[in-house]
Parts: sequence; structure tokens; C-alpha cells
Amino acid sequence: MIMKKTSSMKSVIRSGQQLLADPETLVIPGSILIVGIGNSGRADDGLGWEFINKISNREEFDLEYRYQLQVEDAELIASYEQVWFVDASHEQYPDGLRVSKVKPIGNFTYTSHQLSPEVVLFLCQDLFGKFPDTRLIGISGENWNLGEPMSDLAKNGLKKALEFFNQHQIITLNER
Amino acid sequence: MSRKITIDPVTRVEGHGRVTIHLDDHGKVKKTYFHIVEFRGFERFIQGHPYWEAPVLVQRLCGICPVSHHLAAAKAIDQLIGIDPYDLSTPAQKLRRLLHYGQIFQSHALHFFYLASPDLLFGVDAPVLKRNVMAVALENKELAKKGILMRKFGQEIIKAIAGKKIHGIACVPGGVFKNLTLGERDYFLNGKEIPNIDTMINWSLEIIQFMKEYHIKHKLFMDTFGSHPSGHLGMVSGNGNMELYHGALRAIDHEGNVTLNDVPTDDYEKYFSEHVERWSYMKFPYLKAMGYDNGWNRVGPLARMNICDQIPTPLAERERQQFFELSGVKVNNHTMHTHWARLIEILHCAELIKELLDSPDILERDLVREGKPRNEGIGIIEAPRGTLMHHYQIDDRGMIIRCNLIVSTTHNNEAMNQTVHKVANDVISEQGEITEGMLNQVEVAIRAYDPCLSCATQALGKMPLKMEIYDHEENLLNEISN
Repeated sequence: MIMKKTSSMKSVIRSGQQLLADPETLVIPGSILIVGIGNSGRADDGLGWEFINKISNREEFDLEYRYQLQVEDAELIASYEQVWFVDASHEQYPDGLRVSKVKPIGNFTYTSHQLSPEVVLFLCQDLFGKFPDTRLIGISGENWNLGEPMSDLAKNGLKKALEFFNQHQIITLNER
Repeated sequence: MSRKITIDPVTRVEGHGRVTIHLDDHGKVKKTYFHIVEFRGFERFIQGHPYWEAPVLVQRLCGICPVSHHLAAAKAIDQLIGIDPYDLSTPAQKLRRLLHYGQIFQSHALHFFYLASPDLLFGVDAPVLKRNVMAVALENKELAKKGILMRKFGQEIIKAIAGKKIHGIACVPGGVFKNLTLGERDYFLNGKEIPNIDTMINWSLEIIQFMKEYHIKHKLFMDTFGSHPSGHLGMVSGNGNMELYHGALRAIDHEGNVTLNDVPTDDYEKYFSEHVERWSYMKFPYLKAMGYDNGWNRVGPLARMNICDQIPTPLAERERQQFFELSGVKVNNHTMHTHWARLIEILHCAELIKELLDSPDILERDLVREGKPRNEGIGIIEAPRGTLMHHYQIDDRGMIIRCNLIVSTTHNNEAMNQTVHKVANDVISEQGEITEGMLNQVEVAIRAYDPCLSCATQALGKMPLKMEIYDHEENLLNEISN
């Protein structure tokens, strides 16, 4: 599923609060892509998609839904200055979420059916000679069953993730 | 001591399959099975749904070839409202064909670059961690980039017509939902945002050249690995040309004798039956007139090369002729040549896409036709993996009461089983220690067919490779996983 908005607008992240796990908060010019990863049919695994749904009215971003990251996503992210991946996590974070800066790592396995954000960045760098500034928002979940609603833990994590994202408001250069 | 070896699941295919190889006391291959162990059941649970839902529902069979199911179902549903293939408006016909060729282009690119190329570039006994497209990307950057961009091109064609790259909607009963805008068409022609269709044709030629050179260097492997005689089935146009969207069904035996003589697709039930084995969810289609033992056929790129008189686009036809000249056979039964045939089809589709993009008809708005309703509809197309059959019957309220799907991979069931047996016999029989590399060769042979096991049984496949070795009393002796 894809919802992409044409945007070549220059954007910046306004420095507001510290990233929860990565204290590096910078003013970053360029186009921004936000990728929700998961499966809305499997309870808390839909957190990434639901995050995208909640910010779908934001014109300043390009938005993408993914079941999993694949090789061609390296080509996709190569054209952006900044990328945010949002995914559910099996890990139970103290604040319900963890935000981290992603670095390119060529940690390959035998399968190419799903790649980690680190490997996608690695391929992007390797094939296209550059990679975007990339963050990963991991939101804790606990229920992964087919067809069941999202857990309260996941809903709380999603709320905090959106608050975090909105606090680190992204504005266009034109607006600034 | 007799043994049973299990490869479960088979990797780098779409869906979930398992191979068991039974060895006798001397380590000689006694029998082999390619089991399909997932079950989807679309034929059954689509019953009771209104007919117009079919093209949308059935494409959920698969994430790789949903467009093919969408189109086959749409052709059948057209008939339910009284519209046969030639009754469609010209823009609708051309837009459906453009969608179809975009699908074949991206699916073939996915298979060759992502799934098959590691086998060819690194060898069938390469280390496990090297058998993937990431290793291709690291060692063959240009090849990997072209693969990614070629697949993207096909997917963008699909997105432009169906709204999404996967599980979009283009067809409505009697036509298509939308035309292309000028901007959407020019996106594929001007080369500003993505490499254009002329680049796709050039890259297709380059990759065929790669394959021809590979064949020269690895002739023995290409000409013998997994090779065995088989029938071949596909679709041709009225003048015998390769036809991918609508035509007549033609089959030949392994020597080229015609076994199904250009019969209308609507008559398929007169000629085909399906056999069932208790060890697989996938059926075994065959030509009734020849019986189960002799009436099975390969389908897909290799079969299509064999059954057609020519390819109706100039560059692909030139490559088809070279394909037969260089392979030195009249009918090509070399399983590994399926990769070569697949690349010629990539080129053919690129040429067809260019023709259609240059046609002003795809910008027109005469998109839907209406006819007199019927209770039965049959839609057959040549999907990337071969002949795909959809057949629906409805009641007077328009509810589906019967659905029969004979999917491309299902046609290839017996052929894949024969190939597994051939390779196991050649590679594993009486070899003493069974290595992981030997087992991978069995998978290499299966991958040549590009099987889509999810489609063929109507689950997302888990991908770990596991081998189990049993003694003659079914005791587990050893287990190897990667």
C-alpha cells in the first residue's frame, strides 16, 4: 500500500526536544520520507501503518506503507535527504518507544524477502553512492495475532510516538 | 541403509514447498517428491460472493502476480456480462495489455535479478550467505541497479493503470476503470524521472547478451542440468505468433508434434483434466486425450518459445531465432534455458510496452462496454509463469456458485517433479555424504520454473532451509538448517 505525496519542498527539523535514544537533534534540509512498516491485519504489527495514517494530512512529507523492506527500497530512499522508519517492536521499552539513528550495516542473511533498515541504507550507499539521514522509531507491542485489535500498550506507545514526532515539528523552509 | 532427505522449505521461490528424496540401502535415489504444503482454498471460499468482486478478491492469491489473477478473472467476468475479449473497446484492450506486459516485465525482472542471478553468478554450490541479491549488489553493482530499476519500471506501469503496485484495481466488468493521462504516459517516455522505455529495451538486450555469453561459458551445465523431455503448452494468436493476453491454446510434445491444436480458450474443459496425489496440495493438470502419464506439459517462458511460430516484435523475434540456433535443438527441453527464454520475454514485453505507450488510444476515455448477461465466464491468459485459467459460474442473482482455477505453477507440477528427480539422480545418487550444496542444486532446478506456490494452492512462505535425513524406519538421523 502506498500513499505518496509529491513533495520536493525543503524541510527542516526544528530542534525541540532531545531524541529519546539519540541526543543528536539537527536542522536537516531536504525532502523527507516516512515509511510505516508492518501489517494492520496482525494487531500491534500494524503500529507502523497506523502511525502513517495519523500523519496522513501532513503535506510536507512523502509517506509509504510497507509489509517489509526490500531491495528496491534502497533506490527509493536514495532520493531523500531524510527518512524515518516506523515499526512495531517486540522489545519492551521503558517509554513505550525508542528512537534511534540508523547507520548502514551490511549484515546480510540468506533471505532477501525482508531487510533491516540498516541493510537498506547499506545497499543505498553501495549502489547509489549516498544515503539519507535516517531514524527508526520502534514502538513496543505485545499482541501479534491475526485479526485482533491493537493492545493498550501499543496504543499508548503510538500516542507517545506521535507526540514525540509532533514535538520535533517538521516545517518547510518556506514557512520558516 | 535407506534414507529419506527432506528440503523444507524450498527457498527463493514464491510460497512454501518441500522436497523429499528417498534413498535405498546403497544411497541411490529411489523416488522424489516436490510437495506443496500450503493451502489457500480460493476456489471454495469465493463461492457466494457477487461476481464483480472476483477480480479484486482473487488477486489476493499472491503478492507477486496479482495483476495476472486480476486480468484472468476480469476476462471471465467480462463474459458474465456478455462481453467477449474482442468486444472490449480499443482503449480498454490496450490498457489491459499494457498492464499485463508491465506485470510480466516486473515479475520476470524480479525473478532473474533477485532470485535466479545468484545461482548463475556465484554457482550452484556457492556459500549460503552469498545466494541472494545483496551479494549480487555488492559484486555486480550495475547489474543490480538495472535489475532494481527494471522491476521498478514494470511496477510503475502497474501503478499508473491500477493505482498501486500491488493489489491495485484496473479492470471493471466490460472494461477498465481509467485511461492514462498525458503526464502519466510521458513519465515512461521522457526519461526525466525514471529511465525510459528505450532504456528498458536496451537493458533487456544487454542482459540477453549476458545470458548468451553465460551459455557459451557454461554450455554443459545449461544444456544438461535438469533437462528432460516434456510437453509444452501456451497461447498463440491466429497466425501462430506468441500471444500473452488472448488467443488459442496450443501444445506440442517434446519433439514438436502438436498435441493440442489451437483450440479456443472457452473450450479448455474439453481438453484438460486434473489428477490428485495425496502427498501434495497441488493438482496435476494433463491433456485428457493423452492421459495423466503422457499428457502433462511445461508452461511459461520456455514452453512459449517452443510452441509459437514467431514472436511479433522484431528484437525479441531475432533473439528467439538465435535462442534455437545456439541451443541447437528444434524443441528446447533444457530446463535451465527457461532463464534465457524469460529474458527474451522481458525484451518482448518492453517492445510491446513501447508500442502501446506510443498509441494515442491509451489516452482515450471509451473504456467500458455492456452486453447480455450469462451464467458462465472463462478467462485465460499467459501469466509470467505460464497459462493461467479462471472459470466462474454464477446463479441468477450474480453470486458465484463454482470457481475453477488452474494456475501456471500447477501446470508445471509434474514437470517440476520430473526435474527434481533428474537432478537428485544426477547429483545425489550414490554420492555418500550429502552436502548442502548438493541439495541447493535441487532448488536451483526448481527455481528455473519460477514457481508461485501460493498461487498454485490457493501463506506467506517461511524461508529457512531445513534438511532432514531419515533412516529406512523413518528415524531422524540428522538435521541441518541454515
